[in-house]
Amino acid sequence: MDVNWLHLIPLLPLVGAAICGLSGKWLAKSWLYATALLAVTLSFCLGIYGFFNLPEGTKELHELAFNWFSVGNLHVDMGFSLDRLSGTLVLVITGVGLLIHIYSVGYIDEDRGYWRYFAYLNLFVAAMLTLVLGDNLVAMFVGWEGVGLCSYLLIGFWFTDEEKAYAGRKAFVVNRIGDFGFLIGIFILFNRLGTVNFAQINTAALPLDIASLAAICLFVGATGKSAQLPLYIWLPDAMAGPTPVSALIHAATMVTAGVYMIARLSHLYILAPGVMAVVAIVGALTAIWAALIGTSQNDIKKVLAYSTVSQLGYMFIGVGVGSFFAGTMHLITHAFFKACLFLGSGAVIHGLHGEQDMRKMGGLRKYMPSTRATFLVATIAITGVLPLSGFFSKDEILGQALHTKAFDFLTLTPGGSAHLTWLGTVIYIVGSAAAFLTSFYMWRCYFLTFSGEYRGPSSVHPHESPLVMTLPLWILAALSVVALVIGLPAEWVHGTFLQDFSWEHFTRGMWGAPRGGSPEEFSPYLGYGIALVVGLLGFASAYFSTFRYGIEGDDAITARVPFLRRTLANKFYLDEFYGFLVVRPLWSFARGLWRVVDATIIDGLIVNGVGGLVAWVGAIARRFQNGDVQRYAAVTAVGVAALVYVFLVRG
Amino acid sequence: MSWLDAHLLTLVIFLPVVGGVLVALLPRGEGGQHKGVALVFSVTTFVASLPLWIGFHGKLAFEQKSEWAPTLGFSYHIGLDGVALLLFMLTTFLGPIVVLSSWKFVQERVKEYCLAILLLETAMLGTLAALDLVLFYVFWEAMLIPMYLLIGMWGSERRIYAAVKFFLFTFVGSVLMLLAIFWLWSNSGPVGHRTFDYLELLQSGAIDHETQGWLFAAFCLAFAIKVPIWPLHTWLPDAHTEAPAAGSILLAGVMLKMGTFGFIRYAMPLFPQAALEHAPFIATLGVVGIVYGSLMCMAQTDLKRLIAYSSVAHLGFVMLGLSALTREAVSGAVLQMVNHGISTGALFLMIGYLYERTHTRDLAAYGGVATVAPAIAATFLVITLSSIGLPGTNGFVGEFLILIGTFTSHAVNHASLLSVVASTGVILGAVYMLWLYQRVFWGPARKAVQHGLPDLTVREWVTVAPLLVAIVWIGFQPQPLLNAIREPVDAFVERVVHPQDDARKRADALPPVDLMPRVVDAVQAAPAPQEAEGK
Amino acid sequence: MDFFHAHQAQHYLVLAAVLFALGALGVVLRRNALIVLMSIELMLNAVNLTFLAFSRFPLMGTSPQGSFLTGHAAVFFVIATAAAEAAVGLAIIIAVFRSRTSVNVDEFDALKL
Repeated sequence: MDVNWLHLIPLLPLVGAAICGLSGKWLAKSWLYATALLAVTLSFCLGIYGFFNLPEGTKELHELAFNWFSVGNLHVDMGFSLDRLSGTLVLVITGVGLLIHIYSVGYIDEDRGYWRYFAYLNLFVAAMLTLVLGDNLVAMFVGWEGVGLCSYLLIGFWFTDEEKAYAGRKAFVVNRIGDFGFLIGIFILFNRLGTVNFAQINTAALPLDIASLAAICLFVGATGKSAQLPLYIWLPDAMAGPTPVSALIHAATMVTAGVYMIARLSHLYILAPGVMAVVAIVGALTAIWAALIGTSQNDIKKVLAYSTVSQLGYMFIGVGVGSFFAGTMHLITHAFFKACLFLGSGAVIHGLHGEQDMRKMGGLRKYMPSTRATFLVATIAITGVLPLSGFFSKDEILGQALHTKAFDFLTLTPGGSAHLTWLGTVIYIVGSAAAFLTSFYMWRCYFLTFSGEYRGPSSVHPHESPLVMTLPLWILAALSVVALVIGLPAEWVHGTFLQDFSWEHFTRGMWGAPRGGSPEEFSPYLGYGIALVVGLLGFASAYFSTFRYGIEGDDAITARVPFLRRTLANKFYLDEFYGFLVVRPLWSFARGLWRVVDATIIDGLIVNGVGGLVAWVGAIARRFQNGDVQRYAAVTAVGVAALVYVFLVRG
Repeated sequence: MSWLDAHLLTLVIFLPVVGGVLVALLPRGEGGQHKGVALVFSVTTFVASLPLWIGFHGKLAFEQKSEWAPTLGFSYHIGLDGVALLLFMLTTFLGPIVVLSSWKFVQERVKEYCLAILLLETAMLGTLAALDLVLFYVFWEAMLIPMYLLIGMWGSERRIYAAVKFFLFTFVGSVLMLLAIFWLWSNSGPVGHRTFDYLELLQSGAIDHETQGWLFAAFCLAFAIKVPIWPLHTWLPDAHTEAPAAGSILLAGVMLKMGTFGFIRYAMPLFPQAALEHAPFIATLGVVGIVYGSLMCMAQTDLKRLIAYSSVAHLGFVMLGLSALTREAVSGAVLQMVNHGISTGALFLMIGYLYERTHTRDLAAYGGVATVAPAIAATFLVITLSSIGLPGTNGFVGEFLILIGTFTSHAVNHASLLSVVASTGVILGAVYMLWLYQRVFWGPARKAVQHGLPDLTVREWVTVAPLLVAIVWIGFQPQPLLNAIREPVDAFVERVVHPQDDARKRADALPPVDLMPRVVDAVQAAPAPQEAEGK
Repeated sequence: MDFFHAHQAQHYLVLAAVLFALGALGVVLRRNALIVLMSIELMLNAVNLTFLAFSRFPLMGTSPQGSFLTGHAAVFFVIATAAAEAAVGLAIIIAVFRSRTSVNVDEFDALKL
């Protein structure tokens, strides 16, 4: 169904960003806040309007805003489409975005660059909405790079700090590595299909090799944007930005773009089963890898960052095993509870005047009751304890992984007989192990922050944040609970009014079905049981170390396994590894190339060599011109004599 | 058609010269008057060129032909096609900006300075509009002298070395091109009926294969030095580094494009067979230029030298697009010429302003500019983003078209591979430009900015604002530009690739791409999805 | 025609050649600028002698002897030129002497770039 107002959804925040950015310096604070908040609110309202006007089933609202460029066979439009998936995400982005805007009013108020901050934030919302609503790969790429830009600007928001500036640049460059893959993916699809529109790509019958090539290239883009192995390294550093930004960009929305992209292109990915296996494996590895690192971080934001990376891994498991609804469902629930966690950590940091080290926290439940309560709810949600939202979405993913048939016909070698039927099970086990670690590090984080006695310096007086900051916390905590309705198992809600809220039911028919077929109906109870046990084990291990003994309990673990703890605290030395293997060699290579090839060979040897040759010939020739008239005359005389001899005597 | 319509193009081309004459008549020492006249005439030129943009239609417009030396076969023949029009407009657009940008910086020999700028503008406009090879060559060489003076007289420490290097490099190439032009003339008909006219030469008979190769090489050398294509680029960093800001803007903004314009206007259409044959070679050099130029940028410690090397990379993209010979890629290449003129011109402009304030180009001396001069930082950021091709800026459209067009090219073997390698330029571009940005604008205040920096003045805003608008405008609305160049680009591709090329037919004949590791084997044996769901 | 052996003017010509050679050697070898100038005069006079010799004994056999006055005319031109040249040359030498206090040509290399 064609409409003509969809472009307003991303345009309004863009206008807001322009107003804040161009005139923010002179605008009164209240007007600036009003502009920024109003822009997002209006987008949210439009999103709701669109959501309730969605056509039946998998149909979409569509708008062709304008033809961007078309040359030869290539037609790129700025087109927007709103269907059940993008519509829901619009609500999540603008909804969570609005809450974070409100929270930011309290958080950033004292900073001199508040107007810049709101301009960036509005711009981010605009870019993210473009990413989600774009009806073709290039339009999506606009948002894709746009959110990367905003992320860069916001990570480097306090740019006078060299480290933060570096973190911003690192994020942008690592994302660009991913974007490189994304671009190549677009090229491959265009080369084959002559179009970049999702509608055509999703209905095209692509051969295995083209589909696989395109899918894997696009997935490289996803690993960059969604911080998966091996490109996740920018996300922990991105915590240098203001905390609300971490909540919005680096937890709730931008980093999930990769999952969204794969879900949007589900019909392409099911044509490339091998790539889906890769996606699932990368997701599982990232989930456990980041969870391991998360157990040994002491910076509260770093813990949450690694938690985000790990949770994104789950989402990729979900889409990788062909259960697109489970992956996207976790995307939505994760947006709520992780935003809540980040904002909670922001409130803690705000209340402690910038302290981020959990070793200097403790006992904050007395000083910050609201923050503590909401943080607790979100922690329960993420650790997967019945009955909050994270439990259902995560266990749906794991259950789908265990029962998946997507890999049943894959072989490791051409013509080999060993089918990868065991892959789903392995992923399930890895995912469950990661769930245990999640439970451990989140409870450790919670206990170290809120339980026990305050360990910080006495000069800092912890205090609760103002209402403008706690209100969004409460709303997000409530959403983390309420969101469970979208994840209730089908057999519980079958036939009741709750069925309409079930994400699986709501999005039925939107996704491609994997080649091996959907998993058979399975009973969720075994999985739930295991998940509960795993979650409780994590809780127990955190309880008996950090709750009982506070920070000493954590130190005791370090004393027991110092090497492991150090390795984890140093993130498996992956940054150092990249620095040693890629970054420094590249820069040295560039400098060497400049000195040797450019300065020495081309310029020194060839260019100046030719010049030198001319100069050398000249140096010899100039000897004849010494200014001595008599020698000139002598030479002339000899010359004339020679000519006379040649022409008169010989000739 | 009124007299004005018929002579509009000539009028625009020579308006700067009229200004130059006025400047020459004004007494020395009245620097302000000289600059004023130069500004008035460059603005007038721009305004007068607007009807060209508005009234342009068809393939070749504003044609004018007058006798010059009929017995020798050359004439005053000018006209604009879409490609030339874009660059023409770019030149007139940059003219006032260039004059304004050096308002404060140039205080010595103002008269000569204004004269040089105005003459340079006419020479550049003439080069773009010429449709006669002699006329073209005259304008082409006329560009050299003012630029040589600009670098040599108003440059920084090693200006003489840079000016001489610039002159020798470009001149060596041009001389060979002159020989090739003479050959074309002697081949164009019997004595007395020979011609230098470009359009007639295009129509005249085929040149045999081997000769085409030599002539193509001669033209290529002249243009390749100007572009510059790796490894003929080493004059560029020196020239840019030593030139005053205005010289750098004109050099990067327009003059480098004369090289690529030469390829699309002369070298390739005049010798289509040779062009098609050597396209892979040129494309490869383009890709080498992209990667090599980007790596060079990472090794620089001098602001202007870094940007100069980034030009090598950007023009590598243009050359890749031109030699890929698909409509997408060639259109992208032409657009990228304009984009590079705007964004790199703007970069040099901003660096010129920084240099005026700090008197250093050393990266290590900078840091924390954003704290003291936020407007400079903000504008520089937008320009940086345009330079690295972020969607929403002009740079993206050009680069994207070039890369996607190259990827689908059949005229060049392994075009996809070239496109993939070239795409790494997207990463490297971000690496060095953001490194530069962080180094100069972020971090704590270092030596050069410790005593504060005045932010952009009104005059400086006036010069930067149009460029910023152009960056965003072309980023979102490139279609008018692409429409203008559609016909010449189609004709160009058609002429070089030849009509028998049917991309689709060839696509089917190509073997399928086979790079994916064969993780998957038994897919074909698997049941179709619908059946599986039915179970 | 046998140029060197069968002409009536040969004695004059030999004398002129010897004078010219002496003059040329003087120009090339002498250090004193005045002597160089005098040597130039000597060379000019050698030329004059040649003019007159051919004027008296023309090369074309059919013309009567002594009927060609062109040679004389040329000699007057040469004498006039030589006088002018001597005047300018002496003036230059004086100017140079004033600035360098020397007339030794070895010390002058102002023609060098």
